[in-house]
Amino acid sequence: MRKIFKLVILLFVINTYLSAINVGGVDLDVTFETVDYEANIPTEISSKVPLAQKPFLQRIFKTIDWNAFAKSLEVRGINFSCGWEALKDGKTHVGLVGLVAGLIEPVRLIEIVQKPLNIAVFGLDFGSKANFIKFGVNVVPGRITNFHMIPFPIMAMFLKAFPRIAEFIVVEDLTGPHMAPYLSELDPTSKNSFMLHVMHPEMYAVLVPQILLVGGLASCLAAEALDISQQCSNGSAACKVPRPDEGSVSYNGGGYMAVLDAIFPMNGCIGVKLMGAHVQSDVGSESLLNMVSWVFWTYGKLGVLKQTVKSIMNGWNKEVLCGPLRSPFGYIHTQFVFQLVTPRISSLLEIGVNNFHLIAKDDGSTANDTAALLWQRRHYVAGAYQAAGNSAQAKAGKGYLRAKE
Amino acid sequence: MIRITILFCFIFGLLFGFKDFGTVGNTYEVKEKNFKEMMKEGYDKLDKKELRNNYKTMIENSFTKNSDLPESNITQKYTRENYVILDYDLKARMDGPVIKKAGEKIYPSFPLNQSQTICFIDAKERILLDPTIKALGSCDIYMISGADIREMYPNPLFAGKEVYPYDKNYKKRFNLKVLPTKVKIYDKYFDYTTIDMNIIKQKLRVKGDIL
Repeated sequence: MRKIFKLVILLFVINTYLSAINVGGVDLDVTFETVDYEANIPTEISSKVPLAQKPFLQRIFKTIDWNAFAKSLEVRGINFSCGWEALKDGKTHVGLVGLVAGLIEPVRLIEIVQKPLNIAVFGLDFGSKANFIKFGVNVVPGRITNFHMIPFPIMAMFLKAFPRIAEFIVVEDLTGPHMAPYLSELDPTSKNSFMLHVMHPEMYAVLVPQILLVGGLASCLAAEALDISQQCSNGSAACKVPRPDEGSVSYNGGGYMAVLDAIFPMNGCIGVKLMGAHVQSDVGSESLLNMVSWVFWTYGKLGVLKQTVKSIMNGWNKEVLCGPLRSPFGYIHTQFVFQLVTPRISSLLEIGVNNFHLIAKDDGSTANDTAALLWQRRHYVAGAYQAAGNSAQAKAGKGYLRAKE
Repeated sequence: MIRITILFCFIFGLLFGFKDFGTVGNTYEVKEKNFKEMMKEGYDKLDKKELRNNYKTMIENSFTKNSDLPESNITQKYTRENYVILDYDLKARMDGPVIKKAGEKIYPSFPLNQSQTICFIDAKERILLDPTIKALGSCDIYMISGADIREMYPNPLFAGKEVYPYDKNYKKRFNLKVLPTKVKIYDKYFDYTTIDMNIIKQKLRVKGDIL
């Protein structure tokens, strides 16, 4: 007993010490040279680049904001919270020991295309032999109707050759249920609002009134009342949410579009639109935001997207390291960041704070397909070592080793 | 007592005992690659052709979904209440109060008293498809299992209809037991119709289409 006590004291001291020298935003010297491609333009939107003009992977490799990835790498002390919790009950002796770490990485490709079953980012057209009965209807220039979300854990692909590194930089897996692609053409709820009601009655019966009428209004009023830049000058947590005009475009009106709640149902004060209200009457890029909303909803329901506490609280919560955490909605906007990759390239932009409508502007009028990389925040235990004891949990608990969700 | 003293010395040593001892002995350059070189190497090692083929296969697979539901052997009509039972606590926010508890029933409310019909059909045996559609009657939405839905599009019986691959989430939502099943959706209840596939097969045998 005394030995355990001493061990705990020692770990506490080391953890305190390491926390004191918190290494946040590790500079890995990964500033890439400017290439002859319109990619490394960090805060401005580059001119248009036709889709599939160059080999896609090469294009993506040069498009990815590597500096954002490197700067997101964080290490914050030693985790032994799961072990501590286990020790308290006096029965289990399973602990997850390693460095508490976090990062943000590109995990999915999302694209809005006009031609059904056309995966434009890969240049793969699956619809050529199909005689579209329904899908082809109402596809007119300027109207964007099909949404694809394709798993694209590019960091895992690149780090595949370095398994030892992968113990410390834990990125999205290359296998698992999350690797299923989503095509709105294959989902009845995408084109049919009635079916969305049928499949998710709880959303319409309970959540939508709650969120849109109460939470959304409060969010909008709060955003109007508070100038987020003032909060940032005080160094508060709100600084972690960028001002809208820190994105790729300038807005008139400063902070009025800032969104303060976790789910951003109102898209600031811009407009109230029911999730799923993107059906065929909706035109252009504004439908993208709604599509992203409900696609996250759908995926969340499937349990594909895991959540991170950090993304909500802008802080660390050790509980998430002991196992996956689900939000009541199934998805949380704040853990995601998007980066337009075509027809223009942007820096990383917060969903909800930045508006697709303005950033992807004129895509509707010029009938271009639009694609973006979806980045996801995560935190995990780097170099995790499982201190196994004699309990059943220890025997079964290999999942603890990569408790990255 | 000695141990506690040592422990305290250790703690204070950690917190305040920093000292630069300088460099002693030989130093060597770090041979490990930096992150930039590493990612470039990872990119170069990646088999791009294989990756593209993997994505092609992955997306191709999403056009065909199979179901584990048995074939219907009875023609019947029945109704069932339209509700879902929550399998999680419903909150508006992560840290907000619980609006509905797990296990509670939620009844949908459709605007304008709408109604639609959805048909679930197994198309593994292609010869049975058309007679099955005709026997079920017209539906607004079709969910097809056991076949690539792109092959369904040219079928004139699907003209003007929405055709999607089968989805197991719909099996749970509509409490499906057999295929084919037609469901007329109302806000308070579902109207089910199933048809006996043996009768359809029998008719085809009489016509000589199935031996």
